Amino acid sequence: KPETAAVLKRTVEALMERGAIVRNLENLGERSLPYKISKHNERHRRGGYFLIDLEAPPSIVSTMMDHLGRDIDVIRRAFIKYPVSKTEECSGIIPVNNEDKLIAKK
Amino acid sequence: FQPIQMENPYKEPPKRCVLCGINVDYKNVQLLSQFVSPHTGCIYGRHITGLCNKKQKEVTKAIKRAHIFGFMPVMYKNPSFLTDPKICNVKY
Repeated sequence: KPETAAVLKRTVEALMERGAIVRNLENLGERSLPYKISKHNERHRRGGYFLIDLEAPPSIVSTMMDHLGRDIDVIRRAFIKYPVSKTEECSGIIPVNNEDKLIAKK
Repeated sequence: FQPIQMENPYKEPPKRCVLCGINVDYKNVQLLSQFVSPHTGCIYGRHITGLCNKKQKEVTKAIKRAHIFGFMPVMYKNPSFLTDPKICNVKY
């Protein structure tokens, strides 16, 4: 457990070094991986999942992926755009008018 | 007398799909596993799930993401989610 804390501290410090603003750090729990992942000459079966909310310039991404790839304790790394949740406009299934489409194409 | 042009008063509200108000995330593996085959782990098509365009695309992208990030198994369905209620009209 102190090792995971050390890994997180390392990554957050590396991020702050490149000028990223860390908003939040969530622990999604430690569970057994859905499939065995072999990384850095070792077959992993269990892992801890962490989610870091970031604000950073996009030029950081490649350098950070490099940095995390060299870290032995990190099994899998990924960067995603912040998910913008907008589901209030969902208007349901609109029936598609196939006849109109055919006529228009002609 | 000419018939008055008006909108169809007997129009039904547009049919909503199962996920029509729900935010799809790559993190809730249980929801995503409901659209995956339990035997092979392949994603069901639109004719089976019955979702609208946007939602089907979102679900597919979320499932692929979950596969890559190591949240959801690829070749099979997580056995703890096998007893979930059936959403898709699959005939085994």
